Amino acid sequence: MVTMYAATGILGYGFPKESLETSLSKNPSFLGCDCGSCDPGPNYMGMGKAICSRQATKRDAALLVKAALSKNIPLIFGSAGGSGSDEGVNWLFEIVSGILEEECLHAKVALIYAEQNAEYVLSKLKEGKISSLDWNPELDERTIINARHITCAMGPEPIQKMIKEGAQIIICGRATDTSVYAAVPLLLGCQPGPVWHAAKIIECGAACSFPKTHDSMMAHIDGDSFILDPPNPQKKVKRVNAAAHTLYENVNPFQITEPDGIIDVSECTYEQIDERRVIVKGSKFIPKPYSVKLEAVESIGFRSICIGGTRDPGLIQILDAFLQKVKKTTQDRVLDILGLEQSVYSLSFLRYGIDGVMGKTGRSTLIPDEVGIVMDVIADSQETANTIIGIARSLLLHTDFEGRKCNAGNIAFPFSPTDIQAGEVFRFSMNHVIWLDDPLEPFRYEIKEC
Amino acid sequence: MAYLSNLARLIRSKNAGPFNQTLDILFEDEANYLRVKDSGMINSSVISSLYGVLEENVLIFFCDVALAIKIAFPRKVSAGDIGNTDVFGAQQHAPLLNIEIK
Repeated sequence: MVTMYAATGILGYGFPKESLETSLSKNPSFLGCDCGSCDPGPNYMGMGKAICSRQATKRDAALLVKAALSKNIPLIFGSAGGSGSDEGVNWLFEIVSGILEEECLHAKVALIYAEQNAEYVLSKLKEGKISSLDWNPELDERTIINARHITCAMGPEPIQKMIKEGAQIIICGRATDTSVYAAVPLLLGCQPGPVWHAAKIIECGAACSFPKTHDSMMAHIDGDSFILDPPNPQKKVKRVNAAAHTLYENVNPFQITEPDGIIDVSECTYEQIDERRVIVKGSKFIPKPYSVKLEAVESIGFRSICIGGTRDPGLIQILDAFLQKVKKTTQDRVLDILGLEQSVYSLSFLRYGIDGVMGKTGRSTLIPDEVGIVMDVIADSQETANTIIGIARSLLLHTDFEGRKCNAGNIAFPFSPTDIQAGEVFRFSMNHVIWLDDPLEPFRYEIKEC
Repeated sequence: MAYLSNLARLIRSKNAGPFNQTLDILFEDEANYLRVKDSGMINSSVISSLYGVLEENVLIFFCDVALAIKIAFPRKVSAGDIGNTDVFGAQQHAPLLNIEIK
């Protein structure tokens, strides 16, 4: 039997140290923690910012480093620094080497970098080795050239390579969430079906158990089945939640694609062994040609925003037309002052209370007593964005409308300054895969004695 | 007649990556799950008109073991891009709440 351990959903979210201690007593073959997510949006990859603070990350990492070295088992971090960029790997390495020094410990630390340069991706495009995913269009050269960062999400093979070369702590750039947890069990000869399925569930930490808090999760792989086992004695996994977990964050709940195959859970059974644990049988892994997912961000400019609200019923009645007028007048003034056509910047409004959360799709038919307005400008430079928002804000506040009573000002601003500089903004620009002959090819490897 | 929100334990929305929107409807018991599944009211035409997406782009899966229904379609605007209203995609579930089930 091989035991997998996931510290928590994202390094830095936290977990009780008692959960780690309990797990260690059950002899895990490795300790793992995913460090990344696309959920918070493209700016983290764009700006090289981590999702969790340095302090929170260090707290979690320190417990794991000491535990793994004391048991002489590998410790694997995936998608370091939030996006798995090279900067993220270096950031986490700095934290880990600091921990080793403070604790007077020594370890062989492997770094696996996953960022790609445009030339490599262009060459793969020319060879016809890139396909689009889901509903996305085919990749073009312009998108590759404009990318600020591009990563390939590694499978388990690069991690296994570093373990074979003696690495005790492995810090990966972008990796599939599951590869962090699948690498060691596969290396030990476990069956891929249960390994990949278990990895898919525990990569969210204790999310399939409750009560729901950030905590660790174990999976014990035995032959063609696995047992989900929450180390925290207060937590329980119910069979229906284990079954529902593959729905979470996936388009297809029955088949999940990994670099070298598809996890097929369509015929799985989930049995409650006791109050707290579930045994899963019937997980299949169907091999396929090897492919790695490409992720990338490109800059869309610089943002300035302004937040305010209105409580005037007359204005709220005609808000659509009013904001159209503010927009048109702003565009005329921007052309006059800056010489900029409306096509080179964007000016938009979010109306909370009307359609701010769902856009036109969920537009409420009720007319609220107050509406929150967020005005958003994106332009080529921060200075231009600041100038445009200033013009728009003044017009939002002072533009007259039919029957207006509140002619001292249309808007309640909560803050001074009213205009907020939000910095550079990005979009995700790739949802594609590269077909590879060699799973190790796109990545760069370093081993450091610390 | 009952509203879906009275029959389902959870009705939630979430991104599956930055380009795809998913909706999950999870049930506490099999009776309610089967009632909703068999009613035929969760179909691509209903989702298409509630969310303003092309019918052929709507995927629906019925997961009997998990007592859950999964719906997926492409986001109109990817997470964080211009015109995006919901980076995590976690507040797009409301149109499902009042679907009427026989």
